Amino acid sequence: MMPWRRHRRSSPRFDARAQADAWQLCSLLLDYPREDLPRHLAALREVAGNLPPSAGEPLSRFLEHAEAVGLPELQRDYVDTFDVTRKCALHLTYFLHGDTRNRGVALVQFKQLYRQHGVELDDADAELPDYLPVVLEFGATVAPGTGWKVLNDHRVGIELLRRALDRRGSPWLDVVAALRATLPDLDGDDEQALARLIAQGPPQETVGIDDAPYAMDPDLDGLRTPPADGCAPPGSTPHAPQSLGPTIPVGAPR
Amino acid sequence: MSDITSARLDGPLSDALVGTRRFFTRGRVSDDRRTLSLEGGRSGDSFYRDRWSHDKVVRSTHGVNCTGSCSWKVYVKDGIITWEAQQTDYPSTGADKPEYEPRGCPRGAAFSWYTYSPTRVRYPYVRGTLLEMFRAARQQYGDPVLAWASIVQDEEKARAYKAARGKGGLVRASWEDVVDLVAAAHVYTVKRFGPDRIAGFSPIPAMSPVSYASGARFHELIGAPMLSFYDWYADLPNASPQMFGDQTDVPESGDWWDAGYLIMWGSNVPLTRTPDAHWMVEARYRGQKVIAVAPDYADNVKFADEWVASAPGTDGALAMGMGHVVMREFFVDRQVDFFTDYNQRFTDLPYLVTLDDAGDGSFRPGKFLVAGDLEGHPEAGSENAMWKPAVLDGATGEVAIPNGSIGHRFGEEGEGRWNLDLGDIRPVLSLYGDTGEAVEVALPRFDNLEGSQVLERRGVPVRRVGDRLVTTVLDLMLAQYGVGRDGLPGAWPSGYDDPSAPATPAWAAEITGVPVEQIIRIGREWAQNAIDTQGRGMILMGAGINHWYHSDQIYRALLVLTSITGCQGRNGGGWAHYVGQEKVRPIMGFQHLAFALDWVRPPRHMNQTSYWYVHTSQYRYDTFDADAVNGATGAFTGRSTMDLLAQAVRLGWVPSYPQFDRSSLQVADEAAEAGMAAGEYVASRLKDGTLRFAVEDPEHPDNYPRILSLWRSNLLGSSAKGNEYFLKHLLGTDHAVKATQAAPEHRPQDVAWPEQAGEGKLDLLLTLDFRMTSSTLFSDVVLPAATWYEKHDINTTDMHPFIHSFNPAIAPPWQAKSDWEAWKAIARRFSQLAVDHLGTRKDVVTKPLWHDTPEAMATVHGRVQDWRTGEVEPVPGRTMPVVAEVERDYTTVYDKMTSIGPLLEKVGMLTKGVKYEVGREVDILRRRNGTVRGGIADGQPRIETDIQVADAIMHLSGVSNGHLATQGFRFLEKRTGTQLHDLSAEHEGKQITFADTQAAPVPVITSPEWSGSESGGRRYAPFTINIERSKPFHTLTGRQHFYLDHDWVQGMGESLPTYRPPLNMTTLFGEDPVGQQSDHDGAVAVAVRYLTPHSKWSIHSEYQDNLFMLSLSRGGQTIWMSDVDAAKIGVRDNDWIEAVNRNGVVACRAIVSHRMPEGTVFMHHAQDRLIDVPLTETDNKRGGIHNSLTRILLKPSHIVGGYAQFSYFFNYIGPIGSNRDEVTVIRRRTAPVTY
Repeated sequence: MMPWRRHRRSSPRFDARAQADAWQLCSLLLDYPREDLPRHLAALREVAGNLPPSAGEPLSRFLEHAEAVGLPELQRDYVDTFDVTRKCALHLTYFLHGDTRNRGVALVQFKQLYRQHGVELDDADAELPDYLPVVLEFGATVAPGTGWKVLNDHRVGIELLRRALDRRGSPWLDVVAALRATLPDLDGDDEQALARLIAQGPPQETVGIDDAPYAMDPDLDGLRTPPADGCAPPGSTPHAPQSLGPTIPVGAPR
Repeated sequence: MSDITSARLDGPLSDALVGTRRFFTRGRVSDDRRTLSLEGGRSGDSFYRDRWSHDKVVRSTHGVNCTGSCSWKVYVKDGIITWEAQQTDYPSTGADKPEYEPRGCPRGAAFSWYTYSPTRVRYPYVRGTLLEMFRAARQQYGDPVLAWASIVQDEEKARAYKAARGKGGLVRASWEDVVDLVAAAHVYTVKRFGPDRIAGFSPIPAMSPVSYASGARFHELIGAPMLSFYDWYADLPNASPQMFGDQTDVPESGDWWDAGYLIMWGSNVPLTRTPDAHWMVEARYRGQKVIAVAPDYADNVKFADEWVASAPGTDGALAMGMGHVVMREFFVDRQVDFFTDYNQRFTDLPYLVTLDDAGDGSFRPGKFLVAGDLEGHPEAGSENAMWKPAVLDGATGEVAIPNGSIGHRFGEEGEGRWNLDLGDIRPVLSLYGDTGEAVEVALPRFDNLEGSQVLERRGVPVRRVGDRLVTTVLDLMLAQYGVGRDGLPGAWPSGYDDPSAPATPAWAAEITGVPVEQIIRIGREWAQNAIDTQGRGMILMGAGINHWYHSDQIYRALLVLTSITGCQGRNGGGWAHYVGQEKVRPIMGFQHLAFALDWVRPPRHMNQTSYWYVHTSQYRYDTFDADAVNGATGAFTGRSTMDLLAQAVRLGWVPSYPQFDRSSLQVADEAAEAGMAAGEYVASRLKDGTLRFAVEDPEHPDNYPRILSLWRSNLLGSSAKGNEYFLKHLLGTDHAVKATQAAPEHRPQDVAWPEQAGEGKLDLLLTLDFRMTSSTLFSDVVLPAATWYEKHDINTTDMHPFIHSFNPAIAPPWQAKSDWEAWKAIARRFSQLAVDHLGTRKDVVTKPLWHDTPEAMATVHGRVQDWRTGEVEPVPGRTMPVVAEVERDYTTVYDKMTSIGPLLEKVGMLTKGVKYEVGREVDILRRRNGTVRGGIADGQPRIETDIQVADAIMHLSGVSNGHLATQGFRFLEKRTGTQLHDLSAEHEGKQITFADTQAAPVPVITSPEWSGSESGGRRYAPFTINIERSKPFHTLTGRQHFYLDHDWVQGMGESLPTYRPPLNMTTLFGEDPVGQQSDHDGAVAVAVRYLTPHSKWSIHSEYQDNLFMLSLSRGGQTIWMSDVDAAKIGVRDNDWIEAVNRNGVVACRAIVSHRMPEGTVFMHHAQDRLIDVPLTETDNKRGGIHNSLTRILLKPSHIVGGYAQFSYFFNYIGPIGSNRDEVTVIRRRTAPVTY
């Protein structure tokens, strides 16, 4: 999968203050709900109320939800959503680089990016540099321009996260919706382009892999005869022989 | 991360919000800014440039279950692990061999993924329900111990959090809070129920002994048992103690190169021994012949010269067929000096066995004739005379007592005589032609569908000794194998082509499906190769033949081939079993530190199979008596396996914890009150029945295990045979058990049977891991562990002779801690809480009769006598367990854990019967590690850091400290009277330190801890010291044993190697017979043999969740089945299927392949239920793991103890959690797949 390059040079949709507020609020709310969160809900709601409605409304909705269910429930839900599944990972390079060796290097690049802007990622209980709340905080408090670029580069990851949360019916969908409201709208063929990237999946090592994804030779399906007792596999029309793709020629000079 | 309370949200709101920065600190800007990210242009170049711009390369390796023990380079840039590559600096094997370097496999190369994986355990977790209750109670009571008590004593509260196990709802918590809760739970449990109600489980210490030792040391210091792993994994071959008196001593892979003939038997080397497989391939260029025995067209088959496709579970018959050929052609038709000489000295073939008159004209093979049986013989009145078996001396024609038996191993008279020198004795192997007299013996065969005993009468030549009739072990072996000789009475097969009787090639061919000609050819070639190469024939044995209920019999039949042909104890020869344990080369230092033997002895060691058989209530589902499952020999008629276990416990054969029906601390108090010594008190109260073993009433809440800690382990995603019974009885949560409990006639007589079995017995399940597994999801508390690239430790294996190290490439990220640091934190808090609640207590420890000690001479002739029935008096250490009283100062557990205790200097160290004085070594450690000042450990060496522990382990072991190796050999020399110390002399001054292992892998030193010699740069092969230096095996005769004469073993018809088919699950449990098709809720289903081999894409559950491996394999759970079986049930490749039996349900995809034989399916081992496992069609709950379809079945011969090589030691002997005999019904899934 490639980074999303379409919106790198677009301009922010919110003014600087609103964007910083929205990002920092998203950063707080996408992080683990801490013990002191309930005490600050009122203040946070006020910040959300001052944001443009496209971000402020979903954030307010989430804050109401947080208040309604209470902290213990929210924490349990958070762990079940973000800590024990891959689909809702909050680490951006995970979406972009999947499980290739590039991921380590990508993490290093994040770290160096922060350093270029004069900040170090705190080492105590450190989060990874590509953790979405970290990136959002960087954009909110250190370098809005670079944050904008990074978030747009990782738009595919954000969209995947949105889809995963949507499928779960998760309350955090609102927070991601608010984040998306600060980013460029997807219009025209953007959605198709995104879908294409998503369909590609994360990059994979391709050496030695031929067309057929599995070890089983589909040609053999056609050769299999149904058993004599008549319990033929339902709907089993034999596959037509198909190309097995390029194979390594035996004995060919190298 | 700072707390958001520091954010002042009361000012201008948005300013304040921006002030809530948690992640960043102002930092230095690099002057050159040279890693600026590039945009456009040749940006792709940056990857390649950056790839080699790492900051450092750190040596580390992969721990726990990976047996490869490959050293790796971990590349780190800017504090981020970027990738790993194989190390290439293994010491050379010499000029005439291939090298070990490089080693590694795709699994290892994918490991760094775990560091930043989305499912990494990053924070401490507690189940929300439990944490809320604990916090509330802590507030209410002000004391964490009382808080814990208030929860677990309240039935409703306890049920609430137990039933939530496995259903999510974890929340993050601080280390401080979690450690408080865990420590409080331990203190409460020690106080209320006793320390023996707590248990720890961590497997395979060889691959990270420091991490193993962390929790183990804590457990043993508080008096909690450590659970074994080797027998539990069913990897432990009981044939090894039975035959060799030693557990799994095998050659390094470099020694495969030395073999002239190599059989891979149930061991798929390229797949499961990837870094070592090259030796097998290379040796072929040297002219080695390679055979692969496997039921399927396995990966290793294509490397072999011949494929022997034997049916699953019939390998014993195959080996017997070959053995028949070997004995016929090389022992009867002609004799070969090489074999005769070897067997006279190194096996029990010439030993005399008494024959007992069965009263029907036939005789039964009885007990070994021993010196004490021989009236008037000069040795009859000698020390330990009942422990000195006899041979017939061909030189004098008289019965003689060779040196080297267990009777010479202990006591004064044996000094200098425990050796294999025969002196002038010329033992005769056979009595054929001695007196001309012969009788018929009745020998059991089990080769029928039920596996039931049928007796076969065959003649053996005999001699009369006093009023006894005796024959030799070889004569019995020939009869057992159906190798006839002229003039002997009885029914004999007519030739190789007679399939009617064991163990002709034709008979084996019918059972195994292997052609007769192939059996004859390989048998013949095997023996001829042994003659031509002086014993360089090797069999690599794998889990494929080892995980069966009767695997000990399969192994014995194979080991007959290696031992009888003189291949054992040779470079390039003998057995090579590579399943599970893996050699902790520095075993002595490891054992003493891991089990805290420097502070308190004896330890509590528990065999895990019987632990779970009892505590997950699986014994209640044995719907048959012990006789029915063991061949209907009549030995155990009307007795359940649980009865046998209870007897083995009370006779001191096997460990059993919890010990008694009350706290072990309370028993100590009671003894003190009664003014009696602990042993005396326990014996008298057991006798009058006022004290009972806990195993006799396991469903009583006082006898439940209360706390289980797992680290480096994924019990519930991997090894838990009978996984669903764990969920039901141990954890008290949702499960898929459908089995019925035993009807009254099958229930145990000596064990209480309340109508309701316990559910949710466990109060606390704690797991330390770096990744989310089934075990973490079912745990009440999860602690984030450091990965293998984040801590210091050491690593050794069977496969190569080097010690090398783990080193942290980065500090543990997020809130992870190394196991050593985590357990230290728990120990510290435990010690603090103990001040108010525990103080110093006396603890009565029961321990079984140990191997390699005089306790192994408890049962003369292996005759079982029970104090419960009044046959003998209960005498601790003789007719019942050893009873020891120890003192535990619970307030100093932390101080003891982090220092080396005084017992090493006071009492010395002891390993495999060899004693060491280590005053000098401890002094060196004082200087190297520094000493503790003040407190209980004043003046003792520190072991506060993981490096200090690693150094201490190596310094206190002969393999890594030449001084100790030499000292041990000198000690042995006094007993054997032969020269040994020169074996390590070349390295006497060598001490391997942790720093050495950081620099490069270091070869170990020849040491009495192991049986092979590496002197002069030899490849390691086991028993070479025994064979070359006449050092006895640790068995009854001191020789390798073909014949076993314990009552139970004889009663089961297993005195000699015999073929026993897989268990018949139809008879035992009413499962469909293999091959039967049935209608299953409207779908066609077929019953198949269900095998769970090791996988190419994972190491147990490890790597199975790694997306690299998932994309190399099919991803998610799969079952391999043959195209024929698939067609029967209308399944095409990649269809969803369900496998169901009485134990549970598996829902996964089918891989249809002609590689598989009809009637057999593979579900690769330990495919965790976290990865792509849907809800089942059967019960609409999440599908299970491979062990959801299995369950524990205890084989009685594995719990025999107190008799020579049949004596307990941790991971040495024990009942195995076998899992290969199972069958299941498979059908195509019709309902839509949902998660």
